[in-house]
Amino acid sequence: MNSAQQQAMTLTINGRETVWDGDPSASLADVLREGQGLTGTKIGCRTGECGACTVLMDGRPVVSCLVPAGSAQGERIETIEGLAERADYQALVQAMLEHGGVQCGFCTPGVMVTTYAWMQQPERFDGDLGAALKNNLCRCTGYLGILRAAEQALAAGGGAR
Amino acid sequence: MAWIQPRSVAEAVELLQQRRARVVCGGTDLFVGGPARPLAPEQEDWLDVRRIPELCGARRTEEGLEIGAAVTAAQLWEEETYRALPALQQAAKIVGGWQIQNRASLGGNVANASPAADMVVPLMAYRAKVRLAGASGERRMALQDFIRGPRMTALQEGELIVSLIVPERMLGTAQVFLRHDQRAATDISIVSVALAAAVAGGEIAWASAAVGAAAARAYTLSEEEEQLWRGRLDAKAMARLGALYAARSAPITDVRAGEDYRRSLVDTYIQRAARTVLGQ
Repeated sequence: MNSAQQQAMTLTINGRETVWDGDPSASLADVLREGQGLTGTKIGCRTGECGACTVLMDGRPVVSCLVPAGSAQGERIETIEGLAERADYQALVQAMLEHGGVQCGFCTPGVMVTTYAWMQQPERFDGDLGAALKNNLCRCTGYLGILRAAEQALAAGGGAR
Repeated sequence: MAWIQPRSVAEAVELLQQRRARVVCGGTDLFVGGPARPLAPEQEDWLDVRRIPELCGARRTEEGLEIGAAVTAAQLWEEETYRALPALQQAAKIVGGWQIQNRASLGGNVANASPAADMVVPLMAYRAKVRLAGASGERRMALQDFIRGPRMTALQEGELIVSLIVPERMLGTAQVFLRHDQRAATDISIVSVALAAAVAGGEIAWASAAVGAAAARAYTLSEEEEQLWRGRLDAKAMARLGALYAARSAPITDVRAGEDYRRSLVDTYIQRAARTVLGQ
């Protein structure tokens, strides 16, 4: 510990272990963006409503603006930068482009992370991506493009681990 | 300031004595309204209870089902163990969205004591008990005594919520949780109702209901008054129940709804819950 506000924390981000020195009650979203330069994770509301900051923790989507950094120790954190290296994720990217699932793009990283997590086990929401995306606000697309893209990526075999 | 992750209740209680730490679980209520709510001046550390195995699961006991305080909303609606508590599962699935549900804990929803808390409402209908651990040992109390008012609980200094205990007789009863909100999305309830009822042959043997977001804290009727739930419940009996619960409400007027509207919703939703468990 360097000062009253600092603590050395070991975080596993996109498969790499990083030691981060800082305030353990800082939000994971800020640590990712400012501490690690992983700016693919967006911050929209800071109150857990918009979902733009969604990342995976042990494979489950969470809003990183509400995750205290200290709490992320010992968890497998995956950001959109980490997912981008996967082939099945790229199938979803392609489908999003084809179906117009992206407009202004600000919500897109969060939407992609939640959708990717949903694709691993769509039966969890009885196949309903709309229900899984309840915590991801998109004010441009009307969601239809996103839903169609996910359907296509899933049909193409995406998500089967 | 340090982030401490104890591995047992005993260790957590000891740390709470030594270090005057602030308990945190999923953290979803920590940042709402600005940066992380700061520690009180006398507090030095954060005590993260998510890594205490006995807080992260449930067990069947003679009393009923004991649910660890750190069990998340997503665990509640996903895991087989909680199938016997459909009203709690429905409430857990409506809290925030998937991302919130993966972090928000049952114990946290109780500790935060928001009048509009969703998961508290079925727990109140179940007549759940809260198990607490502190320096002087363990104690348990009825949830309705534990939650004192908006953001106020009977939790004492150095105490920790260990679990919520749902009585055996509630398991597997006909249940429903209904919530009125404006967006059917990430939103806060305007009024919510949970009902657990023993139903056989279209008749209610006994029932217990709770109402959320319509008073300073979720409320039930007395067990004596709950006798009104018994029987076949024709339209008149349902109307009487709805009116009684509505009369007990003490709603506020805020940006989401007016007082009168909320009171009238209590009536509507009590009756709707009754029809739902009766399959009407």
